[in-house]
Amino acid sequence: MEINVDIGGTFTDCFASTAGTVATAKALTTHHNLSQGFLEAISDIAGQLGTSPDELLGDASAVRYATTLGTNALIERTGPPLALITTSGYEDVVPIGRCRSWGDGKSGAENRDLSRAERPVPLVPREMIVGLHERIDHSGRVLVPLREDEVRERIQDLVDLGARGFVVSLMWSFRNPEHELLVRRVIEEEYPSSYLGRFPVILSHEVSQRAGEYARSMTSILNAYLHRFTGDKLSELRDELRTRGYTGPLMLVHNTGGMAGLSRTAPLQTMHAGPVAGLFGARRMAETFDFEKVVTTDMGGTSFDIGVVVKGSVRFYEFNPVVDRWRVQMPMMDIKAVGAGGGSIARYEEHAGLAVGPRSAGSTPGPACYGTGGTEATVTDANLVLGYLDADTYHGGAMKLDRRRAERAIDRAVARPMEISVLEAARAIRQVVDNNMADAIFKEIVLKGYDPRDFVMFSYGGGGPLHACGYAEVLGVQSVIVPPHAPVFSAAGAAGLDLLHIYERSAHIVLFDPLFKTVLEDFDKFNATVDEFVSQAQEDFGDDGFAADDVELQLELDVRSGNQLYVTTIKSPVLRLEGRDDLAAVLEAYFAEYSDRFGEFAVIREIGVSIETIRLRASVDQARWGVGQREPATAGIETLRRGERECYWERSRSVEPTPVYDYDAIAPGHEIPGPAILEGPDTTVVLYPEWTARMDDHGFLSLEKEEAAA
Amino acid sequence: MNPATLTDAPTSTPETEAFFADLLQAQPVMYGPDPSIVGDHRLAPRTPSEEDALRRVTNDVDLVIASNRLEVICESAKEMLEQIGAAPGAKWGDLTCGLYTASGDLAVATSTGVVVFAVVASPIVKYIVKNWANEPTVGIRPGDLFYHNDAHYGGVHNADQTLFIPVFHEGRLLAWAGATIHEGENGANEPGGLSPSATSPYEEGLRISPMKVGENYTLRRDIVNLFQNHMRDPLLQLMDMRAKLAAAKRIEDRVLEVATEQGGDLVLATLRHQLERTEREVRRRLSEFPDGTYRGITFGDTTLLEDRMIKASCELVKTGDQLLVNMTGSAPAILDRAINAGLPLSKALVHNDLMNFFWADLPRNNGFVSAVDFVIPEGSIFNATKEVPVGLSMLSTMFLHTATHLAMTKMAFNRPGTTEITAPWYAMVQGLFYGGLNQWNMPVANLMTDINAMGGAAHRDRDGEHAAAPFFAALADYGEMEDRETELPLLGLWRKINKDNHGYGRQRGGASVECAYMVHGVPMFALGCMATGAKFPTIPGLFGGYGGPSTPVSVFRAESPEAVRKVMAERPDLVPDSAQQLHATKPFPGTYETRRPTQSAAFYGEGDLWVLQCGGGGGYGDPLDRDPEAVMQDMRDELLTDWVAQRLYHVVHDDELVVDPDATAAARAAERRDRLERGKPYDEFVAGWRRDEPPEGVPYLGSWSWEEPAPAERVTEVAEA
Repeated sequence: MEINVDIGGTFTDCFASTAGTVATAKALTTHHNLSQGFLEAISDIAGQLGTSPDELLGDASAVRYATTLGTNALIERTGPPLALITTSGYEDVVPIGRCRSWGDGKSGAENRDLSRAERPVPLVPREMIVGLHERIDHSGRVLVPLREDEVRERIQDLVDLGARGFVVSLMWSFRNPEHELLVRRVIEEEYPSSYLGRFPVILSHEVSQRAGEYARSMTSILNAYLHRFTGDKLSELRDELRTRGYTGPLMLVHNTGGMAGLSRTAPLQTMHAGPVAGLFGARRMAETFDFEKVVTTDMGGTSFDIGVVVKGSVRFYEFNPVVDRWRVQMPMMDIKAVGAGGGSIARYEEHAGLAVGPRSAGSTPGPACYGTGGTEATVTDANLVLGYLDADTYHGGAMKLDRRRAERAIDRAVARPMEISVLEAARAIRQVVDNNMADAIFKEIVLKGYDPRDFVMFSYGGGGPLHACGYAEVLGVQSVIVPPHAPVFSAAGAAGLDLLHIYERSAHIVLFDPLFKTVLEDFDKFNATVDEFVSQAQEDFGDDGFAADDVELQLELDVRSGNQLYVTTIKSPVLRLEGRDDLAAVLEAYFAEYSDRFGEFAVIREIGVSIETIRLRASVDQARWGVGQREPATAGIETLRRGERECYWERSRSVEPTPVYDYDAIAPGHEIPGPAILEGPDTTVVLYPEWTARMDDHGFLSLEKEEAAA
Repeated sequence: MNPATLTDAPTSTPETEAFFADLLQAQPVMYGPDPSIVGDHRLAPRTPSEEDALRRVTNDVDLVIASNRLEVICESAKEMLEQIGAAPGAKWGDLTCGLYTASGDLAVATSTGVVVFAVVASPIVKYIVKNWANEPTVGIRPGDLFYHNDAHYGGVHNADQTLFIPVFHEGRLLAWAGATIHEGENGANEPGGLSPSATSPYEEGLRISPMKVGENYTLRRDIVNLFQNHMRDPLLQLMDMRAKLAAAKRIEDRVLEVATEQGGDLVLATLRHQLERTEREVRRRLSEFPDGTYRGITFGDTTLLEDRMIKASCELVKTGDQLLVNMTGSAPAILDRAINAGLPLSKALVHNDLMNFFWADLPRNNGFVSAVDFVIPEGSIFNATKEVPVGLSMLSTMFLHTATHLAMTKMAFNRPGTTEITAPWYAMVQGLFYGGLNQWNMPVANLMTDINAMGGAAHRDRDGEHAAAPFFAALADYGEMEDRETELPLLGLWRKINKDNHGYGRQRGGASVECAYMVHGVPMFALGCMATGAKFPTIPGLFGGYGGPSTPVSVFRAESPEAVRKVMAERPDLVPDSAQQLHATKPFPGTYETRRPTQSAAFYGEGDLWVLQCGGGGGYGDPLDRDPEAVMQDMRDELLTDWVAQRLYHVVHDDELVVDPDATAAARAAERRDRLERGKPYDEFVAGWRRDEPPEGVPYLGSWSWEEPAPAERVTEVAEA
């Protein structure tokens, strides 16, 4: 038995599998003690399988764990008081945050408004930042040596001010770490662990080997800030599992799309791990079913998350992501969130027309139809008015919806100002939000250099299948897949992860000098870095009991042309540069990637090429994800029919009686023509006219437009 | 000549008249800047195609959806351009991707970064449409590529270059796709494209009037070569021309998809609708402010080459939904200094204030400016003609921007609606520019992005943000010093907020930074700078708040690189981290100077050091009303000297920065009494204060009264050091 858990802000999802058997469970997340919600989900699963929780854990061979709770620690500012020690003259690097930090993590609309620019409360206040007289240049040469007595004095000052953790981030420390190491030595001498306990001392060069003093400092600060969270809460959970008889490792899902044990996990690597597990699950499924290009869409109450997965490509990584409000340096799988969800509020203004979102009614007060105090018209209200949601069966009947309230809200906010009927207004709200989601997908895909029409779309989350036909039609996408276990999809995705470590370092290496018409001849610097990474990877995996042969290595390079400011990341066709053939292969791979991504018009070979970052991905295949088999249908679709209701369809521009089917009863062999509503306790699929739904042997429901289905 | 022949009935045949008409008008010597285009900020009239399209497409939801899609298309092209461009501007937001109507009005512009493009870019396309469509040697056909940088035809300044592609659908010109980047280097007489020492347009580098540079989506290599031939950085020129082509082409491809799937009429109608709707909404919002006349005045303190007080005068007359912006009384054009500004940019800076600080939610398109009326007298520094240099037009229009903000804020104060009432944001580019070979032997020439560190304005209810953004681009980035040191032969000795570098007040302005660059790793490197405000501060405060301080530059010339290195290696404690410390302790052997921040480029040797100071934002309200604890926190945060805390905030505290509340209250009461004693009745004040002419010894340009325009001037004296 393998157990995969995704702890979200509200729910703890659990997906357990063993040969041929799958069980899923949901429990409320217990923030004060994570193991409580976790064990509740385990008990549920144990109940389903007819065993006890302790027995289940005793038999488990793996526990994989994804959590986004670090986000809460950041938002609630529950981290320890930290001090930042930096180079004199650079004390304001973090407070200023490259000027733009006020807008990092905010929406596009907020980013336009200079008159409301406001930075978040800092994680390290200015008075807890000190500069040391020292300087190293870009080549690693010491220009101003660091004096030990100055370090001692400044450390004392900071401890007197209440520092309970130190981040040391000095200029160019990743080129030459001697000054940062000196600071740590002094701290350890002055305040041995008996005094400071587990207060962290984080050196920036150990956190990131990339240039950029702000992003490196911020990455280090976040790791220090979340240190206690991983240190305490996660080891508590591990200990709890141990006492209940679990003997295997606790593997943590990383936002890189891999996983590792607790001791090899930096706190930042756990941020957004849940959605990343979902994206990675989609990637595994895409590989299994041989889809080249997949876009995942997850529509919740307030946001719409988009992930792009393309076979063999590195374009779905963000290398300088923003975590909460802070820009950091680490490779993270790229998931874009836009403000479109069931709670998105619709309003009409003469100058802007009908707008839907990004403001959301959330779950409180919620859409007008919840009857919990919300009065604004939302997407959920529109779906109710259009007949796509049913007032009595929403969330398996757990929440009654009030259609009258929905109509009133839509009438007031949209129908009357636009001088149209409530039904027409509901249709317009849905049309605008579907197009907003389609636009967001379009932008993500086009920016990565692809055409949306070449993609297969995965749709999950509460609202995804409800709108999938809508945004797919806008984009010209012909095929949508609703995966099995959609409600616990992220937890299920964790089963497909590898063990993964990523090693990276800034390195300016000119491959082709356009002025002197020379190409790189001395490969030693390049190879030395790669060799160092390879032996580090073998050592790290060796500690976990893996042989060198088990470790798969993939070299990635950040490359740029001329004095270009951004870099383009490529998969290197070679691990080491042994000769001119290898160099040519790297250059050709770069030109090909560049052309594919930005178009042939942008390609420019003649202005020089340099490497800026060397990155090694070392992984060990641990994927256990297997697709279960479903029993074929034994009866026709009429047996699934639960009745019919009036739903709006564009073809008649009015409501039509539409069949409603039981989603959970659909089996392989069933073929349901649109228009139809497929309704389960957690999932509602709105199947448009000209679309057909089919269940495959593995529980994947595919929705296909007729032309493609033919 | 017998005068009678002039008035007698014509003796010529119609054929003869046609001959003369052709001789005199059909073949201009040159298609120069067209005053009827650059002077007209209104939307072009609806074309018959637009009328038709608007008749056919009436569904408001379709228009909203199409306009969102067109915006996403331009946004994604802009983000791509940021990724593949090479000019510093490409990364820091000084670029735009836009979609123009077939007549040339910019209808969809990308929404972050520099917003003034929304106002200045349209005249360029209008020029192309007017002059080249029917010119047999040029013409406008699918796949044609047009290019431009000369600000006399439109645009911000010659450092910006734009590539345009006409978008044809089913044989009809539907729109124009454009991609603009602040490239910097353009072959002017100083590196980086913004030359303070240019005394005529002919010293301002390559001047590309709107022209065709390629066909079938292919740039003509001989033309690109001509451009490169003018530039100090030919690699940059080549790379970014291709980058702009790729971005504009991507816009064209995607717009054509929309047109093919949903009809060209939808695109036409959406663009026009967007423009007209924006204009209507600007007028509606204006109508909500109280009618009246509001004024703002600011001053620059340099012509670029010598000290002068240069007046920017902005009077707003607001009646109903009409706003008249009158710049009468501003300084005259200075015919041989590059600080003049053309009409499009002068109007654009007024709109920058509206777009960034008043109504950030509205689309940034040409409809915005079309809603406002202007009076900008001929001969004004804000109405430059073709023969006047304009390379540093931003500088004069920046203090015009501040004057506008003061007047607009007074207008909005009583009925702000959703407008945030703030003191002036710091509004001047403290621009260090550079040129030479870097430590990797690559040629580089451009402008430092530290200009983005402008201090934010104080608000009515909170302090300003430190070093938050340039006032003209909301989300700009000044980058990482380690990246800069990788690319340039410079060592950043410090980039840090210096004390007292913001406007004081009940709410203080946001502070900004000093940046110190030492030449490092090459024998010599050229550095220069441009800005005003060394002697007379650039921005005032609001409603009793203080303006930011003046911002001179410091220049250190090393006796030798070895001598500097020796001090750094042996006396780490002497290495300074502020200009104040540099001048006070003079730690390195060599010469120390303070200069005005407009300095022509010159070569500096290894170990030489430049310190430039970006300015802080204006304060809001009386400093005596500031919470004493907030003043102490400013001191703990190293924003403030004790001198200011005591003399201006009148806070009494001990060495541990603990406030003595009673002593502070007493000190503040005493200061209020002193003020009353210093005060005079208004008429008495006016009688004592008013002068009929500028004070002797203050070099001054501009009218001395509101009504009287000032004559154009040529500065002929030898420039001061």
